[in-house]
Amino acid sequence: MGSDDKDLKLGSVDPALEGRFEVNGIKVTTVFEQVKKEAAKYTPEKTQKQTGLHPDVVRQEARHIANARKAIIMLGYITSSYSNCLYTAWAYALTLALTGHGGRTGGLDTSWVVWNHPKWTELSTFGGKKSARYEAGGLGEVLRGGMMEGIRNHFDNKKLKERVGFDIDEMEEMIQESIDEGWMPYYGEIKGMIAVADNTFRRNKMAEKYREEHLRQASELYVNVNVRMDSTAEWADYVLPAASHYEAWDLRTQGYHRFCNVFTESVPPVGESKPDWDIMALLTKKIQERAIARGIGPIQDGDVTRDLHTIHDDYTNNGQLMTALDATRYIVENSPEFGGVTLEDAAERGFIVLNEHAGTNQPLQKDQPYNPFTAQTDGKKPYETLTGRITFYVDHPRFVKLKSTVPTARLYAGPEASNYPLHFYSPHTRWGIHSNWRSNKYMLRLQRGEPNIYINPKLAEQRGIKDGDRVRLFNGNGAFFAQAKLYPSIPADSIMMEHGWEPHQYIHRRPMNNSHVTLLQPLELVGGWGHLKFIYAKWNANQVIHESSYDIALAKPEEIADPRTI
Amino acid sequence: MTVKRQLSMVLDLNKCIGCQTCTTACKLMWTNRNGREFMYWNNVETQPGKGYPRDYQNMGGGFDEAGALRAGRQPSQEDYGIPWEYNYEEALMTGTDPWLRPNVKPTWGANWDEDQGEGDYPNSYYFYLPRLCNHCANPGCLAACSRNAIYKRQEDGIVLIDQERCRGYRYCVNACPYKKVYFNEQISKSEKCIFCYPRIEKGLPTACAQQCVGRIRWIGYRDDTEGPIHMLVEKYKVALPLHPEWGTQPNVFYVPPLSPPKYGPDGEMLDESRIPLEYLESLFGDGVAAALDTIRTERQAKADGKGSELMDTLIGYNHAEMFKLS
Ligand code: SF4
Ligand code: SF4
Repeated sequence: MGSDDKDLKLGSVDPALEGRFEVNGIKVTTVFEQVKKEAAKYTPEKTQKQTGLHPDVVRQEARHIANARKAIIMLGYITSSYSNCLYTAWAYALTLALTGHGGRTGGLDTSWVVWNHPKWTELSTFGGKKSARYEAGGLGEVLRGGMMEGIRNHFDNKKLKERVGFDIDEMEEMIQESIDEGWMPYYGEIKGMIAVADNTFRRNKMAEKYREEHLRQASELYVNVNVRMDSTAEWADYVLPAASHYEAWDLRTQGYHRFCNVFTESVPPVGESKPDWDIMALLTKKIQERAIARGIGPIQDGDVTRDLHTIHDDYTNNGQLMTALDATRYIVENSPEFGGVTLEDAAERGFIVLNEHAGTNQPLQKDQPYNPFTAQTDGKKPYETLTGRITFYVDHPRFVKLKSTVPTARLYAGPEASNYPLHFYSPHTRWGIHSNWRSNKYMLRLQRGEPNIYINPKLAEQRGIKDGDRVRLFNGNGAFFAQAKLYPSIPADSIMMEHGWEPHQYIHRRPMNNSHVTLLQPLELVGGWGHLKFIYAKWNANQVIHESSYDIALAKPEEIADPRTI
Repeated sequence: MTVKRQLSMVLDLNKCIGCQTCTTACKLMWTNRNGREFMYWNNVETQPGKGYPRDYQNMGGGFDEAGALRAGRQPSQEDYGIPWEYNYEEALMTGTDPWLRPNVKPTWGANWDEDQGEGDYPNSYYFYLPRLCNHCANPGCLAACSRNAIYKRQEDGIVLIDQERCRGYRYCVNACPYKKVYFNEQISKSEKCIFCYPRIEKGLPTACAQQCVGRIRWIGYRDDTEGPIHMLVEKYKVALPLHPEWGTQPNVFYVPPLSPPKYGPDGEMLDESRIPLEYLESLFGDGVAAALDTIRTERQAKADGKGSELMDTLIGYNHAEMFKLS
């Protein structure tokens, strides 16, 4: 058996799915046997107590998937929700594999799939010649933001171990191991920040601590490029006003659909604001000027050099791409996936339909859905995995240590791993994108005008809380205040609050994220094992976002009073 | 009231995601200024709920069974919700206020009971009901106006208030059971949804329909037997007027929402839909059960690959077929 051909064709081979064998005197069994054995521990009857789902519902859903002509499970941002979501995602993959959904019959999909845009990549990475430093986002944020302290304040170490299979000390050791082994890159403290398009002081957990740490590290210079005074711009040494939507040439595309929207400069930018591209062209111009004047040459950074003395020439392709319009035209007119359309035609139509070159795994066929992985199911091209096949067995030492070599199940941490009884969900803004326009009065008038939490009427009654009351939410890391809104569609042991409120909208500017904790899933931090290694946007560690828990009480008047009235 | 032609809108409540894009499109076009700040000519409310203005369903207006105007009342400012302002400058620029907040403590607003609905977890239920003036065939507002300031346009049936004739008596505000006429205190005249007639005259749909993210809105003439309105209202009878018993004969119609099954005490699925039929009938009248049956059957046909003219229309593949403006 065995072949040197790099494809998935089985030919005349009929692989054993089940059974026990002896090979060269070693007793072996199949992955399928192991998977089956593990899955058998979690019958719908046994999991009902944990999930609250009736076995009939689970079976009905399984049959629904099995019977579907085509079934796609959209993963979205799942691995960042709870510490056990990696297990959930792996179980989804298993469900689809067992029910025969792959390629034209469906499979796993994710909102992170992007199309192939070589010219875009060329501009954003300088042709890959002097690649930027990439890090696993969650890892950097947790360490650089001093979030370990909050994790220790909030979780009960023993309870955490019982729930998720590791405690905080073990998590810290595993984080360190991942850095020491080079599995996940981490570059340590920062010295300065030029931040664009990220409301980082709103978004991150342990918000105040995170902000203080960042401002300390970047005390020399912090520049923020922004369309509005958000909670991140507020703390900058300089805010450079950016042109907003419809004030700048721009292109938007994403994996949900096969269109690229073309944004024109419908109105000129307000005041002195400029498109991001133009701002960077001007900044690099000055940096280059000063670097030359000061005699600063190439700076070695690993395999590449950082060349401040040519940064403007590099950025603008020697003066050819000075404005957002130049850059947009360059991408539109040179991208194979746009099929040679002119910028004028694309702008007139408002969008470009991507052609076959946009497909990353296989061509994007006209008038056909972009089914996940047909190159593998039809074309028998190997998957980008260690074995070339979908992987349901991982013997990386950490997977072995955490008893996770095959798809299995774990509990999330939740209130049970802390001393605070209420689950806390922080989903997306009701009708907006994160904190974008979160403080816009027209939007606020259509909600409650100030940050609010959603609370089940039964829980509210137990705690003496009425609709519209101001309440205090607290846990091991502190407290924040919000208006209570009755919401029967949430369980009585849970609280929900939209995540996007700006810190400056909270009473005393004390946001939800001050007391929100995070965790890292150590399995996501492994590397050096085939495809399990740091690959930007494909394999890296995320902060988990819904593992905080709280308790709730009616706010006392003195707690929420304007400090100037006391 | 006979007109030559009547424009009409159908909204499919199964597709409304409550995003308020329509509300905002309308607000920025027509009502963000000059005393109209509290008005939402288009609003989206959660039902079951108090709606906008608060409790409008119990404010009277419309006609009784004999066809006489029923007494109605005018909502208070609080019922509409006070359009609070913000201290952007003081909180974000000068730093003289400690945090960003409304200038009055919010106690009610146009969407205050969003997502509340009825029932207990996991059997709670609610849906979104976008509302605009119904451009009724028998408008209560028009019947009540002693100045003859309100009229229906012959060419499209749009109901308008002649701003020259209006003296601000507010009989129309009381008489409209949907509370879709508003009194502008700044100019002492009543104002209402104009079905974006300047757009309509250019062959464009209303702003709320054009911008609708869920593509839940169809616009066309009632007499266009090839158009979407005829198919949804007359042919398949899946689109129904809101509160037909109020007697104004609305020209805005709604496809009522299907809902998932209820759960039993052990989490088992029951053979009973989450939103009670009686509740939907209290809003949309007797046609609800038949409409829901038709949608269920046609959905299944589409899912089975058999094809369905109705579903192809409800999916709303392209705007050109959703908006038939000639
Ligand atoms: S909905 Fe009200 S305002 Fe509009 S036409 Fe009917 S009665 Fe008049
Ligand atoms: S824009 Fe459409 S989907 Fe959104 S709330 Fe309005 S009617 Fe509903």
